[in-house]
Order: sequence, then C-alpha cells, then structure tokens
Amino acid sequence: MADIQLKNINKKYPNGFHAVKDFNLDIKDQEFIIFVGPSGCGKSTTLRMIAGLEEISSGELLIDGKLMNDVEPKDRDIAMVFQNYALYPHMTVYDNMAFGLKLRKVPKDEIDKKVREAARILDLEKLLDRKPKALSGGQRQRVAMGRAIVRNPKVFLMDEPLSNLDAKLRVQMRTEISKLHDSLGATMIYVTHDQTEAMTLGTRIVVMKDGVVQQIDTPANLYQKPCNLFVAGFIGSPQMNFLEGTLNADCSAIQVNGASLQIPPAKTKALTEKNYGGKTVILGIRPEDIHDSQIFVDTQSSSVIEAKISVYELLGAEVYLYFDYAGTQVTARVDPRTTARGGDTVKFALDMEKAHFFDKDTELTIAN
Amino acid sequence: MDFEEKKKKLLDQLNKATGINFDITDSDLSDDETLNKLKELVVHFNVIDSKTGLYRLFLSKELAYSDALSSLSRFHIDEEHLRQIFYLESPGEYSKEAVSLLKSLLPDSKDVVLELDSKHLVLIINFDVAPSSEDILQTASSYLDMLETEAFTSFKLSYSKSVMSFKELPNAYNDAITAMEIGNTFNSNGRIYCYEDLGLGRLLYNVPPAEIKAYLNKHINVDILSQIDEETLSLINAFFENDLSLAETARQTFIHRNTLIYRLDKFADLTGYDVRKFNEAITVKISLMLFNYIKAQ
Repeated sequence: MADIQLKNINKKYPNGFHAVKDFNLDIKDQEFIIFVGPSGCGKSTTLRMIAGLEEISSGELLIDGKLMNDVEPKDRDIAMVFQNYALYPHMTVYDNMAFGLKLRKVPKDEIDKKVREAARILDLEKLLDRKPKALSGGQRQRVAMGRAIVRNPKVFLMDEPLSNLDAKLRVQMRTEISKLHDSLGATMIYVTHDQTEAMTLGTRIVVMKDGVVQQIDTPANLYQKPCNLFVAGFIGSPQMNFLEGTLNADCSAIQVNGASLQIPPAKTKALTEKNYGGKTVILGIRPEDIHDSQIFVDTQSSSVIEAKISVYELLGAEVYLYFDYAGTQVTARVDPRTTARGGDTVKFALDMEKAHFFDKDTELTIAN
Repeated sequence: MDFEEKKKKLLDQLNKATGINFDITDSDLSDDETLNKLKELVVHFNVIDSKTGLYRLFLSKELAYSDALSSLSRFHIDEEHLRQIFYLESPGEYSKEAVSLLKSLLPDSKDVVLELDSKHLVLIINFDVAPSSEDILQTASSYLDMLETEAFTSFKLSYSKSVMSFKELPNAYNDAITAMEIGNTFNSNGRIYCYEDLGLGRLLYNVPPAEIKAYLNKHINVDILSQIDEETLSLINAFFENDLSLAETARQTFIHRNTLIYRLDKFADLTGYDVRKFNEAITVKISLMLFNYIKAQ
C-alpha cells in the first residue's frame, strides 16, 4: 500500500478564492485518515487534489515518495467512492464491478477472479446477477466499494460515501467500512462532515475550517484536548457548552453569571503561567461533565450552578437537560434515573477537572 | 469571432467531413455569403453522414429546423419525444475514456453523446416518463461521480428544463450554456448548474457594466469589497443561506454565537451595512454577486 505526504498544499481558484491553505500531513501506510469539517472547509477539495481531479496550486503531493503533482489521475493508483453510488443502471452487479477493468482491457479471467474476490469480501456473492434497482441503498454502496476494491489500488479515497443512506444503514455501513479497512490493510482517506463518523472510523482525524487545518490528532485527543474553540465545539455531540467568565487574579476560580467555580490546581497553574489572571475567558464544559446527582453536588460544592430546566429529553440510556445560563443555552447529559424535569430549578455540579479554557479573542485553548 | 476565425472553423469542419483540404483563394462573394455557402456545404456533408452531425449543427443553429426535419426519419429520431440536454465542461482536455464511459452509460441508441470540442460535451437523453427535478439532479450527480471514479475526469454540468419536441432542443442547449456561464461567474465552486435555479444570477448577468459600477459606488465600493477576508465572506454567505438566523448560522459553522455577532459587527463597521437587517442584507448580497461578476470578467 502507500505512504502519502502533503507538503504546503494550497488550492487557489482563478477568482481568487483560497480553498485550501498550507495543508501539511504525513499519512502512514494502512492508516485510516478522516478529513472532517463543516461544509466549504476544503476537505473535499483536498481529497480531490490527492485524486488529481483538482490541480494543486502550490505545494507537493507525494505517494510512496514519488511526486504526484503532474501525474495523471489514472496513473496515481487510487480508487474513489462517492456518495452517489454511480452505478450503471442497465448492468448487473457483476458487470458494474467489472466495468472499470474492462475499460482498462484487463484479461477476462483476471477480471472474474477480482470481481468474485471483492464480492466475497463485501458479501455480494448472491447479488452478482442483480441490477442496481433491485438492491437496497447499503447494497448499492457496497457495489460502489466493490468497484474500487477490484482495482487493488494503493489508496482508497472516499467522499461522504454514506451520506445518501438512512441513519440505521449508516451505522451498519460504518462498521463494514471499518472491517474492510482491517481486511484490506489499505491506506484510506475518508471525507465527512459527520463528526460521529469521523470519531468512530479514523485512526487519525484532520479537522478543517475555512481551508485551514485546525488540528490533526487521534479521536480521543481531539475530544479531550481540543486545540481551539472550533475543534472543541465541532467534536462531540451534543456540543461542548461555552460560558463566558472572568478569572480571579490568581486564577483559582472563575466567575460565571455570579457563581464562583473553583479551578483545579493544574489548570490554575496553566492559566497563571499564561497571565490570564483577572481576564475574561471562555469556559468549555462537555454535557457529560455537568452532573445533577446529589452526590456530585455535595462533593463538588465549589463548582455548583443553579438553573431552571427548560427542556427534558429522555433518550433511553441517557437524559438531556437543557437550561439557559449566562445568556447561553446549556446542555447536561445525565443519568436517566434523574428526577429533574422541565420547569424544575436544579443545582448542577460542573466537573472542573474536565473543564477547558479558551482565549476570548484568539479562541485558542489556554488549558485542557 | 471575426470572419477569418469563422471561415477557418467552417473549413476545418468541411475538411473533417470530407477528408479533403479546402481553401478559399479568390471569391466574388461577400463575407456573409461566403460563410453561408460554407455552412451549407458543412451541413450537406455532415448531416448526410451522421446522427451526431445532425444534432451538432441543429443545436448550434447552423441547420434550420425545416432542413433538419427531412433527416429525422433517416436517423430514427422522433420529432416529439421527452428529452433532456446536459452540457458538460471539463477544466482541461477530457480523455477518450470519459467519452467511452458516457456512451456505455447511455446504451439506448436514441441517446446521444456529442463531442463539441476538447473541453465540452453534450448529452441528449431520452425519457419515457417526465423526470422530477430531483431525478435530473441525481442523474447529473451520478454522471459526474461516475466520470470521476471511472474515467478520472472532472467535469461541471449544466442543464435547463426537459423539452418535448426536437424543435425546442437548440433553446434548451443555449439555456444550458448560459447556465454554465452564469454558474461559473457567480458560483465558480459549484459543480452542477440548473438554468431554472440561477435566481438572482440570471438577472444580474444582464446588467450593463456601467450600471454595476454605479451600483457598487453608491453602496459598497470595490475597494471595500476587496478588503473583506475569505473567512468573513464565507460566514456572510452562511448567514444568507441560513435565512439570516444567528443561531442556525452559529450552529452550522460551529462558531460561538457571540463570535458570529462580533464578526457581523466588524463587517458592518467596514461596509456600513448590517446584514442582520433584511434590506441591508439584500444590498450586501447583490454587491457581493456583482463584485464576483466583475472579478470573473
């Protein structure tokens, strides 16, 4: 398979729009890399530059150490899968998978061997004689993947391949793609706007915004140690809560909406060292780090806030409580056995060990 | 295109159709008469030889409807049939694989793949039942994805509404070309443009340059528009796309609501227009589109 290096890659369109700015990334052989970010962040453009479908304005793309900038897309040894299954409606599953190879004049017996092997991997053996209209959305997407697999490429590029599927199928296909990555041992680059897909599939995730890489890290690190407010807000569902507050002179506590929340020593140290004493910062706290149980409220009395619940949502295994605090809507993810209900005024304990602090102006992380 | 260019193009077509290299060294005919004579010859040789030749000349209005009619039955072309034109544009030269792929994608002998030049293709697809606008968009997306995955060629695609009669094809073709031009001007990052969905772009595309200049000078001049950074621009566009909703824009762009307000305030300071107010938002939207138009020119 393949190592991929992107060095100072830029994409600038003739109208001046700078879609991708100074993108740098080393992808190791067999890695599963995810490009994630909101619509228009440059993730698909970057993927398309790797594929050769978009010209690289500046910078270098290397696959296995070989410069690829001017290599024709068909000679880059890559395969792509898109959200539109792009199947030939008049051809059977077998012919759909074989078509690309026929176009490249691969011998018939070799085509047959490759198609049947891919069908076995994807559990499509019994469907080889069917036409696309007789397949479910998930099966069609598997055929599209099969078409990529038969090429035996160095790199798989996938651009939102699950977007056309319903929620249940997406979860199922996520698992299948993950298994496929393990069984093929291929280098895969996967574009999605869905952070859940990114977190569950990737060995590393590249978070992008406005054409700029925000952070490249493992799913766990992105969640626990976001480098800025954007990454903190983007990764995690429900989103991290953000509250504006003013730090004490010695950074031992933060005042938010009249409540004083004590800050653990390690975070105090980081805030003090960066001279944030007395300054206004943004406090980030994930929904699961806000607790309503009495035991938490009692043991963490130095970080308690009181608020009136506006909405109670039971999801089965957990409950979301929504309330307004300091002019912001806050979400708490609590135990389903909670007795709190909409309209109740409840005390919440914030687990300040898990709190994040961000600079109000630069939005960069001060302490995680 | 001047006379010499037109003449050369027609002579090339004539050479291609006949295999003979023609040139005009001496003629009593006027320029217009020369071009018309050449067109007649091109039509004669092309139409007789192929269905694609007939379509090519008819779409470009080099062949009159009355002249085309006589050839329809020869090529088994129904005069009345539901047809959809897709106009494809490639940023560079497209590959032979792209054309073979499209031909294999359209196995119905009534469907046509026309190679206009090294960057442009036209697909004429026959339908038995009127497709919905979602169906057409889905078909268009599938073709583009297929061309990218199988032929490694990137295309943009434009189209207008389906037509019922052969006679309507040239207008549908022209609308598709216009859609490509307008789409490339106002939304150059787009991939598929539908003539019917061009909205304001279709209107602004016809505004004379002097009017554009006057409008921008009166509202937000080019110097100020040039100072707006891309991040702010994409935020303003997201704000428009989310119907001027602060909460929805903040949610979709994953930025803090207060940050969004701060950036909109900064934009208002620079331009004098607060996009949270509907009337001012319209002015900003039009100014930004006109600015893109000027840049594209």
